[in-house]
Amino acid sequence: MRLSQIFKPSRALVLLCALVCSWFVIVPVGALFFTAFTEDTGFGPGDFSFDNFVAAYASWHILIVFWNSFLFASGTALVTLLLGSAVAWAVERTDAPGRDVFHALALLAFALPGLLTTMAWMLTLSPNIGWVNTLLKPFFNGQAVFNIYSMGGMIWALSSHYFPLAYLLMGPALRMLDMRMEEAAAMSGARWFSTLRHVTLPMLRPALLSTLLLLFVRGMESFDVPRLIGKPARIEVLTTDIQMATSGARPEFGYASALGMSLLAICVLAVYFYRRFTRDAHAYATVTGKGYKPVPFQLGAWRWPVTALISLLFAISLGLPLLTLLWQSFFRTIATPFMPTASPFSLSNYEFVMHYPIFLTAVRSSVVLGALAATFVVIITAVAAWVVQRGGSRFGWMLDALIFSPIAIPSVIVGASVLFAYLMLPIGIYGTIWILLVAYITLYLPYGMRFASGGLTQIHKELEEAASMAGAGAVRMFMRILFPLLAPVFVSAWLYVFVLAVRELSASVFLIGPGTQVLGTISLTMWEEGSSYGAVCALGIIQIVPLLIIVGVLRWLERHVSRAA
Amino acid sequence: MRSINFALGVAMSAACFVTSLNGLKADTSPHPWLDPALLQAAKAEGGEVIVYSTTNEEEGLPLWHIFEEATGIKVQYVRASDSQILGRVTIEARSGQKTWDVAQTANVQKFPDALLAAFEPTEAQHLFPEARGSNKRWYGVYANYNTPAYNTKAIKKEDVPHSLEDFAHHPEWAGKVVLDGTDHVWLATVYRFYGEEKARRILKDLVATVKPVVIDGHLAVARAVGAGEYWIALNNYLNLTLNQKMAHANTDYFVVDPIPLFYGQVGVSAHAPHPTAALLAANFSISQEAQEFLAKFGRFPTRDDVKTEPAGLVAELNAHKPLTVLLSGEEDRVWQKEFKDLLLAH
Repeated sequence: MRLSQIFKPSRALVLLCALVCSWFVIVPVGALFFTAFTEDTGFGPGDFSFDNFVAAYASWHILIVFWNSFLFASGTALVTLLLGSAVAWAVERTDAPGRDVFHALALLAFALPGLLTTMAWMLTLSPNIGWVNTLLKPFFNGQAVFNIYSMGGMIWALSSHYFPLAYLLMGPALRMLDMRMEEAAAMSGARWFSTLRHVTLPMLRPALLSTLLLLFVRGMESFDVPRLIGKPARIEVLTTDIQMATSGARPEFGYASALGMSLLAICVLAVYFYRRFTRDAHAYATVTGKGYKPVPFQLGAWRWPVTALISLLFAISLGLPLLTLLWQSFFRTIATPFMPTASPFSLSNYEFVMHYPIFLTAVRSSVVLGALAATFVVIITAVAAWVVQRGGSRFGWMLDALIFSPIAIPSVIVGASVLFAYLMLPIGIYGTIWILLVAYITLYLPYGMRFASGGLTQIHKELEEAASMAGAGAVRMFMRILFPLLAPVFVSAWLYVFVLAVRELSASVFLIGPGTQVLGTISLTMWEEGSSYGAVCALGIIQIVPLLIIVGVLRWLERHVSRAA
Repeated sequence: MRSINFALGVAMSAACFVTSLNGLKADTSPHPWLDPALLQAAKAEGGEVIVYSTTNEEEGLPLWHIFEEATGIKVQYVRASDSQILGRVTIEARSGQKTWDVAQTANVQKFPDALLAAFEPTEAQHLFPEARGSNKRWYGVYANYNTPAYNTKAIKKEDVPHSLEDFAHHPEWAGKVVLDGTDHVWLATVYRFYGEEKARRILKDLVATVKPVVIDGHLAVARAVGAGEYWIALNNYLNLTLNQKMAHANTDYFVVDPIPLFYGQVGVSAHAPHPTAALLAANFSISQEAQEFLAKFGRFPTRDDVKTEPAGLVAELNAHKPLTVLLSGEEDRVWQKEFKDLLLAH
């Protein structure tokens, strides 16, 4: 008997969910369409027109841009998935020592602002001034070993920053994976590779596809790496074209929106294929009504080697850029670790940041906004994912695609659209932090949705069916069954959105008002207008400290909730 | 709209009247820019002024604090980049919102005319003539001289080029020369100086030989040259190079003609919610008091009565051929295409 036949989510809930999501999504998506299909007059959109599409797509250049974007996004998705899954496996499925440290390090790596990590990789692996290259040159006939200004460099710079995202997404899936199936395969004589191929990977397929999809889209819409590394290397991608259009002397929002439509189409297609591949989602559910308690895989003699390998991964991907940033934060001019530097060592950058006007206001605004955005996103997407997956509606994918679509709209356009919409609507939130909150919820709904969908796929319907048969109502069933089982997923999603929101920049620049500056906009000011790299680095290092405390508290909470579940 | 124009008209008349009175007596006020009549009217509007500016908060907030202390008018300060402010004000204008009073950016002259009020602040008489917008919609707050810069460890002072043509004789600099991707004004200035045909030939030779790398941000250019990532910046804001030099970076400027010169400008909104306070604030931002404050941060003044750091630098630059080319938004788009076709063609 189908769950939807026993218990149909009430029409009111579906309607409410659709309305809430539409409110947050339709406004910017609608603005994207409107701006793309109307004449750009310099005072905003004019008459209906295809001119923006002609300008955006009527040259061979766009093919190069598409190819570069595809190569960059897929390369990043694959490398990131590989690294993140390796860490997730070690932390969630094994008894390797240091797992808690790896978890904290993964979050730390992700908490670092992308602008800073990209800059750090330039200072580390530039053929001219990269300190690693400088150290290695004597052993390679004076030639630079690494060149960050290449497609490979771009993929590495982004992957080393994003692999914690893959870890956050794959971690809960691996945690909930029922090992008895792998044990059964082993008992039947299957070798480990065969077990991996025929048992483990198929069970993880929804989480793998979900993660790949998100990583691919993140790669498509990423901007810091293409701007700082791709541009000097003459590797143009969609986002750099869009950025150029919006930062001209007369911002061309119409042209940028027409290009943004490609990103939107790619993302809607990606959601469609994701749902096709996970159509029989119940087949991947490993948390069922049968009692199951995950037991870590005993590595035996491999315990320390696995820890050493994961440590090496963190030492390279996080240690090198962090060392570069930390070192740089003590100097005013560009400084490379272990190299003589023109300016003297000093704490002046930290003093500068701590005494920077509005710094504390910005910290407070960012933390409050981050917490509110994360909470709203987790609540909305938890309900939406449940409606989509358990509602039994053949139109569920449309709600899924609707919620996912903001990921395809560059943040700068989301910012401009939200600004435009709330200036027109008779809702007095313009110039307050609430307009920033609306934009953040719009921006991060897709991420919450992927977390919630991936987690829910692994919970078999039979648990809810049993609860329903026992007379539990929707709320009771959600709170007593699904919430405890999905708590680790929700905490991961909350953390992820919180970190993203705290460092958000592109949309915020349009929406800040007097007294509502956020950390991202201050960082941008220091980057654009401050005379010192060191001050930006010091700001990044200072940002990490409160994030680490919050991450520590949430990790404790996560374990507490998991244990209770 | 009509009431705004009326208010601006009244404010302008008051300003002219007080200017004529000021001409009759020696001004001993600690704030010569502070017009009591305007102040009274500004306070009657609500005692507030909203400033959109590209100046970082480190400079901008203390600067406007001077204004607050002198007038008792509260300043609401919003900082963003040039293009973000332009995008924001156009979207706000389209929605019919009265959101800002004063804009202080490097591209006020690129704002659509309909967004800006024509005004004549009393302090404008002290500005260099070219720092006054011909349509009375903007006035120069600071001057931005553009010169090339070089890394002093990579290139000796005696080896720096003496003209743009010289770059074509240095194939060893291929990939070591950098330029900001928004230097359209520089390109337009070179064309005006040499003439279109000659300029295009010189730049084509230059591009073919040194293959300049185009990156984002003038500060990024200054930092990268100081660090040795690139050896020469084809063009950059002089004050940024000097700031890097003062911070012990291995960099210095050199001069080749022409020297593009443009201005950080102040404009007043045609739809200002506080039109009189806006006029008072704009007058302050071009005053000697404000420019002396900005000069402490390495900005170059737009008036003779403010000393520069280092002393005599402006005179040295003016002995060459500074050229002011002001582009409208539309013209900038044309030059953006030319820049792309020419500088990114290799």
